[in-house]
Amino acid sequence: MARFLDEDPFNGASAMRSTFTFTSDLPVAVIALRGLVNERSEFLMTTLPVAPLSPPAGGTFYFPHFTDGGGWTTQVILVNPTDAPIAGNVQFFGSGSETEAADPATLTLADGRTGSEFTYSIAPRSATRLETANPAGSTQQSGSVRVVADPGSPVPSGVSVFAYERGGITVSEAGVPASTAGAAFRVYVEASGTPEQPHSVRSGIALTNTSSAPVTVSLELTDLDGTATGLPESLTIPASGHIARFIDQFFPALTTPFSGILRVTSTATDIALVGLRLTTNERNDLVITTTPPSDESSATNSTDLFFPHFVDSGGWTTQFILFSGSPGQTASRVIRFTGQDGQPLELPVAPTAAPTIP
Amino acid sequence: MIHKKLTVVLVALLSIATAQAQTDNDRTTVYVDTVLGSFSIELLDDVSPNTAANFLNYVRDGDYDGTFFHRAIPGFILQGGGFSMGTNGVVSAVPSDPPVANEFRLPNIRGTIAMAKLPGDPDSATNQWFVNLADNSEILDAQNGGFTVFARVLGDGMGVVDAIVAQPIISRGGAISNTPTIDYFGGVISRGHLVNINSMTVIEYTLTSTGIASPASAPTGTSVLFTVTVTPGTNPASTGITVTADLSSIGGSAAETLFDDGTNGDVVSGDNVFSFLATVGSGTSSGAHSITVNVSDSISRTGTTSLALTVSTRQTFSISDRGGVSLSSEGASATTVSGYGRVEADDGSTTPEGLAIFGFRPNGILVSEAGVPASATLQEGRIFAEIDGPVRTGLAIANPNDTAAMIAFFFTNSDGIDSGHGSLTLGPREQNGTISGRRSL
Repeated sequence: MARFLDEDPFNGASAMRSTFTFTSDLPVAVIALRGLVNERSEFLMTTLPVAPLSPPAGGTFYFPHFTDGGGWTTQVILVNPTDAPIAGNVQFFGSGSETEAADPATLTLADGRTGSEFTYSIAPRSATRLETANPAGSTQQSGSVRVVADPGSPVPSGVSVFAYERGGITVSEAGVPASTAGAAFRVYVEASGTPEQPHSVRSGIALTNTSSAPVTVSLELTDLDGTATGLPESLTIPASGHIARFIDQFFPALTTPFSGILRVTSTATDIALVGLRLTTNERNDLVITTTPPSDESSATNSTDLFFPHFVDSGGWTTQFILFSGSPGQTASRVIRFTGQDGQPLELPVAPTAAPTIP
Repeated sequence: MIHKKLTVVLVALLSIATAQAQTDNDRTTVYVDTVLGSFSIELLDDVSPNTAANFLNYVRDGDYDGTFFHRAIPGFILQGGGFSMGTNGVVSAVPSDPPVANEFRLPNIRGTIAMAKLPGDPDSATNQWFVNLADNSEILDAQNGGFTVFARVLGDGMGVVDAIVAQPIISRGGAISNTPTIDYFGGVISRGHLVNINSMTVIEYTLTSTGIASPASAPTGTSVLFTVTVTPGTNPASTGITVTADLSSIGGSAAETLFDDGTNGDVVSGDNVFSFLATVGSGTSSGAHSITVNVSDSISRTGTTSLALTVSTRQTFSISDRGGVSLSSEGASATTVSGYGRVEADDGSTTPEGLAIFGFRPNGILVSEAGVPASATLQEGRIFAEIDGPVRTGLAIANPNDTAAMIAFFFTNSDGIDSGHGSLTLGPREQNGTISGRRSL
């Protein structure tokens, strides 16, 4: 099924802000999408995570990037995966500098609250949302977000959605999945075209240091063949700090167009990151999406992997990306596409080409 | 009681194929079980339909059950269908239906069966019939309008007929005239001395069977187990069942044998479940394939069924350590298509990381992209659900299983109060709906 929740067969209320819980007698592949019809009547999409009903252990997770002001807003959405109330607080941090630790970032929320730390309390099976206000005339500030569960309280699941508004029109939204701290990550990246010119694509990462001490991070870039580009880079992130850069900023000598894998490592389990991809469209607007990283420490297995939804033609395209997510991992796999009716579908796909300027 | 005499004719006009020919499955077959053995006869429904139908009425009514062959003339005919003898020794005539108009078409050669008639009355055939023991065409085909051949003895059934005729033949008057007997040494003739027909049964020629392919959906280059379950025929019980499947559409033999001997994927020998483990050829076209299966047994009963197999094509790729692959759909179809993708191990390698990025470019302008991580399947989950003005939350569910998935759901408001529960069934391998615009997902 791929339906809005106010449509059959879900038939949710025409106005609601709640949670939707499902159970299936067979394993199914599921994704949730948030659709926003903007002021130009254009359909903007953001991915929403599907939370497992068994909450993960651990009391803290991170959104490696938020931004507010200057047209930007960020929503932090938290879902209670349990049948009991949960509580904790949401902490906003700035970026810091090469020499100074990041300070808590003071924000004004849409509900009028101001501060850098906001408590949450979520009823069983329910959800809550914090939304920054993007006050008029405010300057842009960016950083990271920590969600800290109260002692003994399970951690919620969550997503942060940041949106960019220009001229009174929301031109882009992107969802940042919650992350746990790790020591090594891989993320798919691309770069093509002239930055900030129509049809250009720029990948970057937002990286946060979850510890109270500066951390040195190494960056290694390989192409899709797994061949190193020979452009190693390292940088220092201050305590609780945050860095968000494009790969052409990390690697000025990078030859474009480029597609490959960025490996980010730290000497300790103290970083969290998310990949960002900005495409400048034909109107010179920024279209942002996130590219989730893989944590190299995640256990590998041989189970089948699913793209729960794709759509093609009628203005739609889908790009399928698969990459080695852990040290030494190679894979030989097949992809089969199935239509909505359960019949095999011939979906013509080809290696992704760099965008061309008409 | 009507006692009909066989009229002898002298000229044979036609010739037909041998009576030992195999049956035509469009014709009705009757199994004749006698105290001296059994044989099958094929009714020539298409040649002499009224006469065959007349005979069949008697068979279906059971009128011939318990009758005896009352007249045997070696080298000429064996006649029956007229009388039965009770355990008390009383002979009774078979009740006759209205006579049937003569339908003489084929010559009375050995192995054919024709209706007896009253002398000088071509249209007088009712219940008595006879088997030609030799080529009697010269005698019977021209006389009394010709004797209507309406059936023939199948296979080696004439061996049974000849054995009956070879019994001692006696005449005592009435129905017992030129009558073959068994162990009769004089005295009162009892039922046990006669060559009785225990029963006549219409053979149901359709062997029923069902077939499945497992898995029902498979990509090229993979193995599929085809299984056909056959319900054997009765009266007589099927023997020598064979099952073949036309696998030519998936790169196999046009008459591939399925096995019931514990090999080729068969699990239990002799259980009438036939199997064959096939490989879907690399050149097989994708989509639904209906594979025809033919079933037969030793007496040429046949049946057909089909095996439904959906063949999918595959995109193969290899990823090196620290590498990846990026594939994009072309967006060039005439209509919007949607569904889901499955990434499978080709050689047992571990699962890579996956990501799909949807791009929506109406009127040539990219307005939105969304990165969706590939994931394993799950059986439960919870999402943030928002329907608020321009914001709507949608859900895509794909059921990759070969059976329907039952999904229950409910909503919970911000106070933790559940509401709006429901359930849905998602068919095998289905993923319905589409992202096709701002107002529908």
